[in-house]
Amino acid sequence: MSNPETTRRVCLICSKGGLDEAYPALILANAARMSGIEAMIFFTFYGLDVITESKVDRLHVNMVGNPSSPMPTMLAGLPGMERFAAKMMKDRMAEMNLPTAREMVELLHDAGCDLYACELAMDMMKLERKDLLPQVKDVITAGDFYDLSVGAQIIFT
Amino acid sequence: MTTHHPSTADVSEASVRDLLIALHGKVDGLATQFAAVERRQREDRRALDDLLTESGPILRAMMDTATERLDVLDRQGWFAFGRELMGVGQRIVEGTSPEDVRRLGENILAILDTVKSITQPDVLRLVGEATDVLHAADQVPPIGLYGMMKVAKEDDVRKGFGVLMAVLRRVGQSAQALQGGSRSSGKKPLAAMLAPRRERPDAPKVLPPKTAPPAPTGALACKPMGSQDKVDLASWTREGAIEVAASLGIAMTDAHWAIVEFARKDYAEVGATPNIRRITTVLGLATKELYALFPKAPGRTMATIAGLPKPGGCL
Repeated sequence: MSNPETTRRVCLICSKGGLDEAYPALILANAARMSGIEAMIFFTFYGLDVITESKVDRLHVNMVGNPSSPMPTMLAGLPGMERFAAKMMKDRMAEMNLPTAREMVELLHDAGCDLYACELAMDMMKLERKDLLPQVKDVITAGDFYDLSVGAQIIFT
Repeated sequence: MTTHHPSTADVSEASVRDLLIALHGKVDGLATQFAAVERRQREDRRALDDLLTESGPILRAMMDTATERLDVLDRQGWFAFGRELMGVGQRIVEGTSPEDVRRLGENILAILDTVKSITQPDVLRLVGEATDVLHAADQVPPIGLYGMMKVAKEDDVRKGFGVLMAVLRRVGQSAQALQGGSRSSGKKPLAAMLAPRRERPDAPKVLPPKTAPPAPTGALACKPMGSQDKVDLASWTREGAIEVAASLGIAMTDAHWAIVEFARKDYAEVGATPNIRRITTVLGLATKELYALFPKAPGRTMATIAGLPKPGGCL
């Protein structure tokens, strides 16, 4: 088969844990798998929230300093606003029948996308392997990441 | 019959009362007369004339006295007041339609209730205290924005503010009820405001059979890829599909056929190739199984075998 997609690989780095920041990586990885492209995601820093059991269902949207936000920054900083905005967005996503972050992780795992967690970030956040979702394939270092992403296009989100 | 002529000054409450007592006495007399007339009437109709003859002078005397008394009252301004009162009544009648009166009748209980609750001692005391403050307004110091923030911490002010808000809320609810509009939760517009807008009026929305999970809508409603992809469903054959599948490295099994046939059926009904999310939700199939059946790009491979355009959507 001479289809160029058969040899194509993408490697996404998910470094942020906001609802709006995590979804691009998840959707892109899933779309890659759907298109027959090999995909992996490397979760680091706050991106680890997406694969942390206690946090994956509580991803928030940050409205502060977001010029595209319909909410004025003065208001967006008030207590509970983040939570409120996240609820609005989650409701809208549910309305559209979009999978939740947890479902997305399961979907990606089932679709054959490899999920990795950053070892250094986990130490910083005082996380252990058991704190992560079972779909995570391994905990790796930055060096391991380069070994695994040979021949892949790397996308940082 | 003689009557005394009192001056304006000595018409007092007592004298008016005397007049009424006198009238009353005479009325009693009249009543006796009328009773006698009734009796007489049965005997002789002409007796009526007797009565008139007898009572005539009495009535005249009464009239004379009454006229004088009324004149005194008039000079005291009673009638001017009465006339004005009549005028008020007239204006009320003119300005009020029968319909208004009917409505008033319907609401009279509510009005009475309101009046009752407004005139409760507690409420009156509250109003009284509020008015006291207004009377002593010159002693209240002026207060600016900062002062407002400062007093906002006081328990009394906070309580009062809470009460005001509660009243305001009720007023708002009543006003909304008056408009007859149902209260919108305000949730959806805000959700739409915060979330990305993805209007897809042309997206097909087909409900699956009762047993199947709900069909994806919105972003997951598979949008047709484009007019150039319009396919002729009739020209597709099973044999051809097997060949196409073989060229893609897939040996067709019952599981494969189930998906391909669902996709063709769905395309015929909805006008779009179902995407992976739709296939897995509607058929209740795990994503893993789908990838096991069509390892490379399941959606597209499945569509190619089924002779359908590439599925749309991100999922």
